[in-house]
Amino acid sequence: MSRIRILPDILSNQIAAGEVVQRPVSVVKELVENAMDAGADRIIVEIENGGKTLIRVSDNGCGLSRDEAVLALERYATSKIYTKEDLFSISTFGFRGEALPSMASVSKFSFVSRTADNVTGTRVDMNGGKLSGVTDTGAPVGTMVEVRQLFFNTPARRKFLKSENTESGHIADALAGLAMGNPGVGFRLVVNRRSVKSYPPGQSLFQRAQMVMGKAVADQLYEMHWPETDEDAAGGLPGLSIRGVCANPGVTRSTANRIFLFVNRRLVYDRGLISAMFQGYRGRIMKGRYPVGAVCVDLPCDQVDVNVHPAKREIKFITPGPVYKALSLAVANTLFRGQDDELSYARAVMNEKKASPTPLQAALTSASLPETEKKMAPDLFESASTSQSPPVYDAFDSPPESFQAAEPREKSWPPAPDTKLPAQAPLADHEPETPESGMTTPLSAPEPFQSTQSGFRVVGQVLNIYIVLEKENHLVLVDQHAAHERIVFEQLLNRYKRMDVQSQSLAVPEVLELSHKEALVLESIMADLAGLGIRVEAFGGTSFVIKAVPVLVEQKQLGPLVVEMVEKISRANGTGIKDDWLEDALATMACHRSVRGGQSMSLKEMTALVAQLFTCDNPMHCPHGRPVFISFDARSLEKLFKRVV
Amino acid sequence: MKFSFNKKDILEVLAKIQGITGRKTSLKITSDILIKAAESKITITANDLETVFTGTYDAQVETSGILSINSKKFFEIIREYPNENICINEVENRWVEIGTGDSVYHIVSSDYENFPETPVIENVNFIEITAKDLKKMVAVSSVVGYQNEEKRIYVLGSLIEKAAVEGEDVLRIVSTDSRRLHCFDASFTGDLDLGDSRVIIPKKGLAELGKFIDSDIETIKVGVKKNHFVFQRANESIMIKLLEGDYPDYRLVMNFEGMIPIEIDRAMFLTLMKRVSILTSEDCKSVIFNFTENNLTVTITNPEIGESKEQLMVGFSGEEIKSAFNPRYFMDALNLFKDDIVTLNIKNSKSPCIIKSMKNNNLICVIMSIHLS
Repeated sequence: MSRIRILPDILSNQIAAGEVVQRPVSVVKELVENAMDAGADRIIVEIENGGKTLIRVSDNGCGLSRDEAVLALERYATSKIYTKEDLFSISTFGFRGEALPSMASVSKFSFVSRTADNVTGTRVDMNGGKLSGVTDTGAPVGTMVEVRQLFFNTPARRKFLKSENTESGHIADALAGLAMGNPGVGFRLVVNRRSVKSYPPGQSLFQRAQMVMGKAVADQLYEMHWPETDEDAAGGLPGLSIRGVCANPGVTRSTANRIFLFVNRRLVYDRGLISAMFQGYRGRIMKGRYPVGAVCVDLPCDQVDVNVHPAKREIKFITPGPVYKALSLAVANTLFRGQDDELSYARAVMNEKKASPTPLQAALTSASLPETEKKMAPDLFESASTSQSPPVYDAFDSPPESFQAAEPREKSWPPAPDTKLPAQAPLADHEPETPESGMTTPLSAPEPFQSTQSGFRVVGQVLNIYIVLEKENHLVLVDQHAAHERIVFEQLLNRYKRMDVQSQSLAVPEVLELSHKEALVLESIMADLAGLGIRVEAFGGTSFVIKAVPVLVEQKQLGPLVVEMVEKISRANGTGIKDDWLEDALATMACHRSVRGGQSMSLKEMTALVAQLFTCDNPMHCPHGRPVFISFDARSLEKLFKRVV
Repeated sequence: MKFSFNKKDILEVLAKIQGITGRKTSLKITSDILIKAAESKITITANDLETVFTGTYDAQVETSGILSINSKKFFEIIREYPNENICINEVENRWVEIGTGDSVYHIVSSDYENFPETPVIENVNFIEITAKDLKKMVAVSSVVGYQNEEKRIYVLGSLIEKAAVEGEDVLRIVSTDSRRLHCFDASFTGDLDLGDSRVIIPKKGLAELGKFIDSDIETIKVGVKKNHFVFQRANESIMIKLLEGDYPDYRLVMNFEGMIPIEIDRAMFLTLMKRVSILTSEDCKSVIFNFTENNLTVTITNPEIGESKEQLMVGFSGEEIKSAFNPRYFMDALNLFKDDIVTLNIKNSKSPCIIKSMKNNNLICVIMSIHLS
C-alpha cells in the first residue's frame, strides 16, 4: 500500500482549524464576519465560560436555504468568490471557505438558518466534523451558529486555552474592534447570559468610536477624513479615502492596542499604518507613549492583498507610500484643526489620568464585580435582563435604553473622589460636542496672536514657572519654559532649514555592515541622507561608509543612527526618512537656550512670550511633546468650589 | 599609624592627583587616596582603575600603617591648614585625626583593604625622552577631546607607535576625533619595546600624566609593559592602562600627493581664525576659505547674526580653491606649532587641509573639510 495518502476530510479540516481556529475569539471573529458578509445589521454574540462551553452568533442577514446550508459546511465551499479574478479584488471579509468546516471539525456544532422566501428554517447538526442531522425548524430570517465545547476532540488544543476571563476579554476586545469598523451594524455581547456590551445599529463612525473608546476619551476625539480637498485627491492614490477618529494627544497609552486599523472594513494590524499615525502625532506626544484612535482606510480592492495570512489580520498594500503619507497628513491636519480651539484642546490634555476601562477589563468586571462597583460603568450592565433565555433572536426588537445612549451621560460618573487633584478629576465629563465644533473651521495656520483679538489677557506669573492667562471664561496656565522652548525650537528649525547643509567630512569613515535587505533600503535613501548632511558611499557588497556627518551632530557616532533608520524603514515598508535625531539635537539646543522655570518675568516679557508663542506652527506642545497650555473653564472652577454640584 | 609631614612637600602632589580621584564613579573608593607610612617615608597612591599614580615623600613616621581617605577633603584640609607641619594620627576605628592644637579634624576613612590593587609592573624597558617632547605629545593628544558618551576607541585614546623616519626610530603619537587628526614624532634614546608594536593610550590618563611634567630640561623614562604605559620620574610613577581595540590607518589622510603647499604666517593666520570664529555658532560652524592668486579670503555668513570677511596675502598660485572648514580646529592646530611660518597643504574643495612646519615633518595636523550644499 502506498505510503502517501490523501487525508480524510475530517483530518484536513482539523489541520485547517489549527490555523483558522486558534482560540474562542477566532470563532467569534469568523462568525461575525460571516454575519456581516450576509448583510446583517444586528448581530448578537453570546458566550459562556469564555467561549469554551458555548459560542453562539446570531444575525438577521440573508440566511441560507436548506441545500446551501449543507454545502456551506463542506471545505472550500464559499459564496464569496467564484473566479480567480475575484481572488484579487476581495470585498467580503471571508473568502477561503475554510472557517465553518474547520470549526465544525473541532466542536459540537449546529447551524440554523432561514431565508426570507422560505417558511421554515434548516438546522444542521455536526459533531466533531461528522454530520449528525439535518432537520426543518422554525427560525427567524437570518442565521444562528452555535459552537459548543470547542476543542472537545483535540485535548491538546483545549489545554492551551487560558482562563475564562482572559478568553472573554479577547472576545470583548475583538468585538469592540469589529464594532468600530462597522458602525452601521448593531452588536451585542452576552457573557454568561448577561448582556455586557451593546452597540446600536446605524451609528456614525464618530458615535461608534465614542462608545468603543469609552467615556473618558469620548469627548476628546477628533474626526478625520482624507482627502479633504480636490488637491489631496489628485496628489494621492486614486480611490483612496481615509476616515477615522484620533484622540487628543493628551490621551495616550503605553501600547499601540488602542489604535484600531481597518482596511476596507477589515480589522488589520500594520506597522506601517501605526508608524504613519505616529508621524501625524509627531511633536505632540511624549516618547514611549502611543496615541489612541481608529482609522478606516478604503481603497480599491485590487490595491491591497488580504490573502497574506489565514486569519487575514495582516495585509499588504500594493503601493504603501501614498497610503501612509495620506494617513500622516490626515492625522496632522486633524490635530491642527483641533488646536484652533486652543482652550478646549488644552483642557482635554489634562484629563490623561482618567482612562476608561478597556473592553478587556470591562468584560472581566462584568463577570465578577460585586453590585456596588457596577455603577462605575453603568452602560455595560443595564440591559442584562433582556437576554435571559438563549437564543436571543429578537433582542434588538426592543432596544434597551443603553442603545440610545450614544452621547456620554454625565450623571452616571461618580463625583470627583479627591479634590486634592483638581486638575484631573472633575473636568472629564461634559461637552462632547467640543471635538466636532473644531471640525467646522477650515484648515489654516493658527492666527498670529494679538492680545486684543485673541482675547488672552496676561494675569501674571505664579511660582515663577507658570504664566496665568484669562480668556473667554477660561483660566489658562502656560508653562513658561515649555512655551519658550517651543518658540526657540521653531526659530532654530526655520533657521536650520534656510542655512546650507553643513556636512563635516570624517578622517575615519564609519563602516556599516548591513544585511542584503537593509543594503537595498540604504541605497534607496542615500540621496535623501546626503540632503540631511550624511554622506554615505557604497563600500562593496553590503558594506557602506559614512564619509561625512551634519555639523550639528558631529560629536555623535552616526553609524548606529543610520542603521536604526534603515531598520525602521525596512520594517515599516518605507514611510520615508525621519530626521528625528536632528530635531532632537535642535530640541536640546532649544531647551538650553530657553527661559527656565523659576525665573521671574515681567508682565511685558510674559505678554511678548505669549504673543510669540501664537506665531508658532504648533504652540500647544513643547518640542518634547509636553503640553504648553492647561485650561480650566468656568464650570470646572465652579465645580471645584462646589458652586455647582 | 601616626606620622607628620611638611605641608609644602605634599600639597603640590595632592593638587595634581585631584584629576584622577575627582572622576564621577560608582566605585566610591576611587575618590580616595591610599597613604602608606613606613621608615620615614609616606607613599601616596591614587587609582581610578585606569590611571594609577604612586609617589613617595619624606615624613616623620612615628608608627607605620596604612589608610584610605577621601582625596578631595584631605587635599582641602591640608591646603587650608594654618601650620606648616601637619600631624596625621589614626585614632581608632578608622577615624583619622588631622592636625594638633587649635585646628583639629576628625575624618572618617575607608577600609584600605577595599582600595584597588596597584598593578605590579617590574623590569620595564624604559626609553628616555625629553620632558619637552613628552609635553608636546600630551598636548597633541589632549587638544582633540571628546564628549562624555563617546565610545569609539580611536577617539577615546591616542595611538603610540614606533615609526622610522629617515632611518631613525621615533616615538609617534596620533590623535583624532575623526574631524581632525594630529600626528607628532618624538626622538628617544633606549630600546623601545611596545609589545604589540602599536598601543592606544587613553587621552584622559595622558592628560593627567601631563601635569607631572613640569621641567623643560629633564628627561623622563617611559615604557610599555603588561598592557600599561608606564611613566617614571624620580620618586613618582604613573601607570596608565591601555585601551584595547583597532586604530584606523591614519596614513590615508596624511597624503600629500597633489597637495599645493602654501606658506603662511602662523601668528597672523591664528588671529585671523580667532576673528572669524566669533561669528560661528552651534549650528553654523564653518567658514569658507577661498584661495586665489596670492590671496586667501575667509568669509562666514551666519543668518541672524551677520557676516565677516578677512583677506590675507599668501603665496598661492593655480586654480582657485574654495572650501569650508571649522576655524576652531585651525586655532587648536596652529597653537601646537612654534614656527613663525607654517605651510597649509590643500588640493581641492573636497580635500582636507594639512598643516606642517616648513622645516620638518615632526608635527602634522590634518583638518577635514566641511561640505556645503
